[in-house]
Amino acid sequence: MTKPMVETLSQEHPAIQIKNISYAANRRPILHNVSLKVESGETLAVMGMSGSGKTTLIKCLAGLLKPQSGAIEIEGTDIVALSESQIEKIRLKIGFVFQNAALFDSLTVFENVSFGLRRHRHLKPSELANIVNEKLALVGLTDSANLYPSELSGGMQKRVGIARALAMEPTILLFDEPTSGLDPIIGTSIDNLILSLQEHLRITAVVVSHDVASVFRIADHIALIHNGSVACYGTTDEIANCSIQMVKQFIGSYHPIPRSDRVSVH
Amino acid sequence: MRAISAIVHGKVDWRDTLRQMDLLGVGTLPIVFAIAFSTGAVYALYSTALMVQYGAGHVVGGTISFSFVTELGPMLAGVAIAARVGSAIAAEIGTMVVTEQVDALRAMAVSPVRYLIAPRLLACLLMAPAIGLFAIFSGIGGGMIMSVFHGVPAPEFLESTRTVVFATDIWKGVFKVVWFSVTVAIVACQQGLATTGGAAGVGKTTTRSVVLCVLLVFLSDVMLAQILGATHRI
Repeated sequence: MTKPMVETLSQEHPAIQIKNISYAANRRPILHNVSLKVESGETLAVMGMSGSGKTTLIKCLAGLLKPQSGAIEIEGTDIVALSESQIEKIRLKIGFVFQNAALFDSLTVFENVSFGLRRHRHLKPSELANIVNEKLALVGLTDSANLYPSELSGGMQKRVGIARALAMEPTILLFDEPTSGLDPIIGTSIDNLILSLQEHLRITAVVVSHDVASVFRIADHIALIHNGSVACYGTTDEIANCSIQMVKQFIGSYHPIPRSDRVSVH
Repeated sequence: MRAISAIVHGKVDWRDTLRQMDLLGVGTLPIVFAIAFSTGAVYALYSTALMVQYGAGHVVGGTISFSFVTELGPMLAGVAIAARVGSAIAAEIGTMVVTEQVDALRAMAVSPVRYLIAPRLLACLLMAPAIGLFAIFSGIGGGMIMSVFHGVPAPEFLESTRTVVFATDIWKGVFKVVWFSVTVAIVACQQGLATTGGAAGVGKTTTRSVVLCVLLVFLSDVMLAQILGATHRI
């Protein structure tokens, strides 16, 4: 028996490769023959109308849902073929930021952020505290470590969710609607955080979002999902100039800033 | 089975287990006391006067105690566990499912079976004997106090109990409570994890869990009574 493929870290493979996946729930097709590729260090934004299958797609990427057909390769390993315990090893490389944060409400902010570290790394309490405080500082919540999720606003919860996802230092980050329900200032600060992660840590990111302005700010490539299939895929410039009527309708009157003019975040 | 495997291999978080023992076990004791004590008192109220009238006052203690050790104590404990623990587990896990907290666990490579189910199962297993003994002795206590008020002296009640009830009867009663408790934990965890559909789904799950748990407590009691030979001295 060979060493699990999970250990394989190869630059030859794209960070994520989705090959013709189809997913149905209760016999209702949700995704149909979806194929996408995300190179290492790249940010892919997945857009689409409500119910188009965006969240299903991102959950498939984390192995939380298993497609009925097709393959999802994470750094060269097909996770669809793996058992739940084998997928757990892959998940250590992936951080997932949930739409409603999904914080553990019986735990404090500190305990939420340290949750994965406590279970997967053998760290001294001081080392653990250092990592947690560093991640909380990254999202601007150092003063909230002892609060419970119910004592936080929606935006703060979302930022704790990001800190929790970052704590395990993943190579891939999955964001489900990171700016939904947030005011424009907090939304922009989350965009800046994603850009900063991309710029400094070269983290590969997949962002599911409705927020057209946010998507054009942070994404390298955009995929538009319509009725469970990829209707359009391209760079931000290509999507902005796309002639497909549905894409035009979705983007609406938004005039994206050209990729080259985007402000660098430090 | 994976939860049992986690417990056997010591892969259960002891802090979570202790928290669950406090929430599910210690929190259930006052309810068990209230139910068993009052049932014991009412049972004695109806039976003592009649038995004294027919000259059987000297067996009142044995009758009430034997009933509580073999049947009433374990059953009342089982129903209390089904109602309080079954609803608490199903509602908590169900809420975690619909708010994606269970998905968050899995996304962080933490098994929900190991983190959620195993500690609850272990807590129910460890607290069941205490709950069972508490129910049995609360019921006998309630029965004895009421019997004393109706003309059966306490020493006579206790002597009758000593004659009729053996230690093995108590262990059989406790075994029943352990069985009920583990059944409740398994059913409630399974129901909680199967929750769909938001707040309404959590409500349905909680109701279904309690109904199923109570039904299984009663049905398995019939089976256990046959296996354990609860009627061997009557």
